[in-house]
Amino acid sequence: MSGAIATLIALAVGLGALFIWAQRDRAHALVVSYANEHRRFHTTGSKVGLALFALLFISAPVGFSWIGYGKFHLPNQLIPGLPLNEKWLVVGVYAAIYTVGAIGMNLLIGNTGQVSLGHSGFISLGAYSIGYFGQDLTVGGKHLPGVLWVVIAGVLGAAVSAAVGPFALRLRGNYLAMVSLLLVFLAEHVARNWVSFTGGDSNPRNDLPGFVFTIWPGKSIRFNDGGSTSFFDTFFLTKNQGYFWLCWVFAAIAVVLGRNLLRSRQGRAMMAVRDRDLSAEIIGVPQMYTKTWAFAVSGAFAAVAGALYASYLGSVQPGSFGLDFSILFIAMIVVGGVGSVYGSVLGAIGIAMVKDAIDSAKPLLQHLPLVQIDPAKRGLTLDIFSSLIYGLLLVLFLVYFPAGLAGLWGRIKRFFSAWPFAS
Amino acid sequence: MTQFLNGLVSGVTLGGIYALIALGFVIIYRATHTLNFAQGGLLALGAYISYLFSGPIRGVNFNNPPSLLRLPYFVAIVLSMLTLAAIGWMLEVTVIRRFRGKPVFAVIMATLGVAVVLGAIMNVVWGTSPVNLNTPFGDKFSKVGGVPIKHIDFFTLAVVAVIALVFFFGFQRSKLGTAMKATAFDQEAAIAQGISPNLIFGASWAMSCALAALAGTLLASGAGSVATQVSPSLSAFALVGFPAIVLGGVDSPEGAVLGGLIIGIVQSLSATYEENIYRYVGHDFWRLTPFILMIIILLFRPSGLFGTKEVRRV
Repeated sequence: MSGAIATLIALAVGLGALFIWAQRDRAHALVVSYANEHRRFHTTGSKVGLALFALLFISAPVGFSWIGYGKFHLPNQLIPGLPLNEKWLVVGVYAAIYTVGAIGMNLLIGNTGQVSLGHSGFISLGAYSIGYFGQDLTVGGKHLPGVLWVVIAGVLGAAVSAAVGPFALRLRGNYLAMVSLLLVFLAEHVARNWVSFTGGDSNPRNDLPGFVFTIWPGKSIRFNDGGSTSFFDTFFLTKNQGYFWLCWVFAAIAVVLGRNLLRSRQGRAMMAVRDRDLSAEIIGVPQMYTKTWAFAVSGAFAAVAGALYASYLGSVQPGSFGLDFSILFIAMIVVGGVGSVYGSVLGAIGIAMVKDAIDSAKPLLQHLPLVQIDPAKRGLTLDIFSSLIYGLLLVLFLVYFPAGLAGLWGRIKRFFSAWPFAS
Repeated sequence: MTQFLNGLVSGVTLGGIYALIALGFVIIYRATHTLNFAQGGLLALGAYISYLFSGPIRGVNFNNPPSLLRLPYFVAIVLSMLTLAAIGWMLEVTVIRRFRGKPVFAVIMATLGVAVVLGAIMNVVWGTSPVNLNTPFGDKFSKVGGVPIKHIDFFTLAVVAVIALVFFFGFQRSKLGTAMKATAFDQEAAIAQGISPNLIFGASWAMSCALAALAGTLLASGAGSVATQVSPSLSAFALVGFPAIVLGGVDSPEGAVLGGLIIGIVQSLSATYEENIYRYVGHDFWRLTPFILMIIILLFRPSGLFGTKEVRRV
């Protein structure tokens, strides 16, 4: 009871603070020049929010699962009673990987207006490229360092994706969506048949390399060896802790790149092409260059996401990146907000949480009618159940909140900052 | 030579089925300018409903894939088409209508959502293990000039021919067909003439879904030799309808039929000569050939063989 009252009071105080803040910030949010419109932070709130987010990001692996193995033995749960364990780190890692991919997809679909369902093809390209560049390839008897093969995956993704750009010059809307289906099938065909690169059906990639960071001669952090490894012989990082930090660094880079791209000349060109490509061309925006560029950036982001995904999972086999995987990413950008980098992050976190909620609700779900845990049997298997949920989210957001979570947040903010003059 | 003729025959049959699927796409596209990504789900659902009406009576229990009646195969096909027509009309009224005038992206996503829901329904009712249709044809075949042709292939070709004839020479000249053409040509003018677009859209979806049911049932009966049973994987064949309509022109029913036939023949021949080419292009390349053909055609003739050329103004 007292907990509920405390929550209510906290909520009231929070809302009040938000209200006062919004009122204070009203003049701040005014746009008076073009340069002003393209500034990085529009309000103090966004700066504070970013700082809080960064703090959360840095402290999460420590707070959610305390380093509990080394010389400094600290309790596994910092605050007893709260569900703090690695489960949330896993969700965070997926959210970060999805963020990278979703930003890439949003730049292409949301900002350039090229509806492509081929995203999972580029994700699988990234995933398989680490099998080759991280596992098979050795230079002077040594494997390549982790960051390098992520970069290689990104470059490969950009190169292959840029080759699709010219097709988008002739194909629009429905046609492009149809053609992009080929990318998904082609990626799967290559995954099954180019055995020397992908391992194929008979020899799927396992034990993919984790990241190795050499900080000191003889002192390195490895993130992918299942258990824990030493870090200066003092602290131990588990795999999830390491990947949480690493993947969010990549996600942060993706966010900064995406935001800056949209603030730049190239970003405005992309949006002009989205709104009407013919008119854009007439005012001097090169259509070919802009579309190719958008495809290349999107493919690079997708491949980096795929590389991180495969490295985190540790294995990849043909058939894991089908049309469903593309639809998952589309659900992310629709839920988060089409055409917004911030929305991509929200959507990625949201879908990662929904995915985890479905997984952890397994014991509850099996009591529901029709739900079937055994995938071979008749009924709603978990795969189908989750794709049903994603499909439902997709359609609900399309119908009721076309601007996604980002737009919803904007509406809430506008309500407070414009209060008493608008409702 | 026999190998070639064999491939050609199953290619023509498969092409006939693709023609039905493509015709379904074109009917919906002409009416609502929507690509129906749920066609695959509807195709598989049609096959399952044929099984529901014609399969061995098992009743509704949760251990076996249910089938209710044991009607003759041909009656089951007709009933399945009627059921799917009703489902299609309902889909248009409940879901697709809300997305009228929305961006392409939203409509595609909505139909994909419908496909997901249909997949879930099929998995709940029938499960993932394939079931056999109760066909009178079995594996029987007759030799024509030394080439064995399966009876189901004869039946399929006859059905496709009848459907095409009825569609082009009967339906398109009927009142509803003319109204559909008018709506596709100029919606406002059609409304001014007293044609209800809601009726046209609903009827288009109903027809398209009925064709999907027919195509699905024929595929599952073994026509074209690409599938022999009713299973959720049938839905993948509907995607081949896209290359077919691109080849013929997205808004041309004649083109859809011709495109379907060409795609079917190309795919079947590339499957026939699989062992000669797999060293260069990999196993199961025949699944990709329609899409590769589609890319080539789109690059050289974006509006297909019969499609109206798109004029874009600034």
